[in-house]
Amino acid sequence: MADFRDEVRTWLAEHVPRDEQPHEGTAMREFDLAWQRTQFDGGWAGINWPVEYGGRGLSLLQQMIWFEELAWADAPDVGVCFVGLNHAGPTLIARAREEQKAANLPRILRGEVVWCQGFSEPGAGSDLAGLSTRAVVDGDHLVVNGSKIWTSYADVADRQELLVRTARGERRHDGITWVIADMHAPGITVRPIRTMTGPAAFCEVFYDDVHIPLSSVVGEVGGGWSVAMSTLSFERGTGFLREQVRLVRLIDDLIGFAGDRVDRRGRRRIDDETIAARLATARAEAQALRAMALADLSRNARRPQPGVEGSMLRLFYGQLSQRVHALAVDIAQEDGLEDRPYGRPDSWSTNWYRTFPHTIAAGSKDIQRNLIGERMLGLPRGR
Amino acid sequence: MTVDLLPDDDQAAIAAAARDLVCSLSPLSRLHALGSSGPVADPQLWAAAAAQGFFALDLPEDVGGAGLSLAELSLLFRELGRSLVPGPFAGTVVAARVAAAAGHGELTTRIAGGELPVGLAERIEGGLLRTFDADDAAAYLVVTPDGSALHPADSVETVRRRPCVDVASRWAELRVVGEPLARVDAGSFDAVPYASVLVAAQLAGICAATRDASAHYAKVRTQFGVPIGSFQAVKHRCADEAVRAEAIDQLVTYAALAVRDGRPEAALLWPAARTVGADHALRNCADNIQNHGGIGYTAEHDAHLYLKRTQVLADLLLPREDLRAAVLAAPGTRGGSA
Repeated sequence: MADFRDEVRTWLAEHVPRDEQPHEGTAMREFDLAWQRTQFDGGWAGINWPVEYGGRGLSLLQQMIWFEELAWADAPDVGVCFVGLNHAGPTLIARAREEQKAANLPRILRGEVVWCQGFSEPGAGSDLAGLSTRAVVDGDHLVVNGSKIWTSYADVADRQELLVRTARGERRHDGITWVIADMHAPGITVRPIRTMTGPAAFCEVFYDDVHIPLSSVVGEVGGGWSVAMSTLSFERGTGFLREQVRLVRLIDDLIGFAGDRVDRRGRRRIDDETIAARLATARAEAQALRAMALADLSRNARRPQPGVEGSMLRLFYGQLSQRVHALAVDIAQEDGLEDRPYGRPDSWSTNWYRTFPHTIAAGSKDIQRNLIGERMLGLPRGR
Repeated sequence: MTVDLLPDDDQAAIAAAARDLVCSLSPLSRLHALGSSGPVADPQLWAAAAAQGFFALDLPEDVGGAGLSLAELSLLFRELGRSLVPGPFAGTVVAARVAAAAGHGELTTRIAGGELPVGLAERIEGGLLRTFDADDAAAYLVVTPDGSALHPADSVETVRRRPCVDVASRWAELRVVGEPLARVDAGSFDAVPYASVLVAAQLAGICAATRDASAHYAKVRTQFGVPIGSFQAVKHRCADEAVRAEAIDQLVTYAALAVRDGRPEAALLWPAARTVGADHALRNCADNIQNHGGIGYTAEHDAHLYLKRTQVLADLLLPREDLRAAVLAAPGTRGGSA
């Protein structure tokens, strides 16, 4: 395994781009796709995908090493490739027909196409099944009208995994359809939404009589809820180790930073007892996070579907990352007031703001707590 | 390093056996009947634990041990924590290791056989020692960062007794007046990380127990016509308790493996486990009292017992400030998976 780690380190040292990763617009798209192509050419694309769909067939341990080394090598974020690699791609693998897979999966791995997700709506956030974007069958097409919101990278995307309502069923989860939308189709309008960090990280998407061939429906018309819920069926959680290692590195960097930096009275920041206590607590908690992630991997390796424990991991990580970045702002004192672009190590406040979605997106922390309470502790459902 | 933190079948069996024994012989209800002086360990439980080899789990087989490790011991101590079992278990287990490391075969066997209950003791100001095992201990293991010494009870004298918030802690300040039975320096066996993992394991057990107590009550207590666990305010507190219990449970195993294997990251993981353990247990205990409402504030309920034991465990061997300093001072590690 040491040989494998050496192989990964060597390859990353030679191939990780050293230019600053752009976080907006066409420059972001081109940079992220180029990094994906580089990984593909090196044989590292879809590291956690099944072999028959182009994955590398690595053991769990090798996948863990890969993701950890990505963090140690300061490799670029997955960026615009996120939805394709980690969400839409896995869903297609789990549920799509062979021709749908052949048309889409290789292009995701090769970095030729950007995907986005059309799930949330202005009236359907945590309550996803309340979505109301309508689609009616017209011949061999669906005709879509409505809007989606919080769609990351929609302004640079080519494809979208789109949930639409094709019928009003007895149960709210019935009558939802999962379909591949072409983001360049007539009738689609994308309006970027500026976030508190400055650049537009997500968009609104409007659908005005958008025609989508029925051949793009994945699963059955009206059976989209189960398709959406099957997405993570083979994601074992190895990718999470990258986030854990990044947090460990950040905390250790902050300890060094607090040891170097002095306040206006000439006192080192780390000699402030509250700062030291918060750093120590964060450093200890980051190891608890690592242990939780390792345990979750072991659990998932022993069963067909990931369980509710993943919600505990996400909740703990989201809140810890927010605490650590807030601590960085406190250590930096007035430098935290300076407006700096996202992504640089000393963009204290901007990097902190970027952690707020960690407890909002993909199931808010309140939804995660409901899942833990109901599915793990057996508490009754309620409001 | 192995990355599988989940117990295997043999380890799960050890934990289940320990839980059965503890629940039948030392239920929480015992604590409500415990007076404020005298021994706290249940004699039957102590004998059964010795007979089942609990004090020798981690000793080599050539001195009568089971040849297992700190990983299995930490499972045992989770159960002791979960049921707030009183008695000098940690001192006795660590003392057996100290005696073995010092080459005292017969002493090791006596300790491992439960004949010599050993209390944990630590140095405090004025050249004194502090213990919470005073009325059960036939000997004291004085644990310091430099090394450990095993003193028979007649080699120390009591300077003062102090009442403890925890009903099962027998607090005394001692002075050494005689020679130890055995002594090891930290280079040959460092008792601080070892004992710390066992303390953290008990805190993990308390986190799990309070999580379960809260979840149970939230299902059976009804108000406004429904179980209070259907209210998000209560449900979310229970979920937070579950997350804290999971975090410390896995961290204890991770730390136990690192200490067992002498890995470099052990220097970070054992104080991390104690830091997170104390923090999470204190918060779980407080949330558990809150979840129970008025009944949680009464003496007859168990909720306060968890909190008070947690306060003692959080302060054992090293105060929390020193544990945090140890976390900060530990060398950085890549903590690689292989």
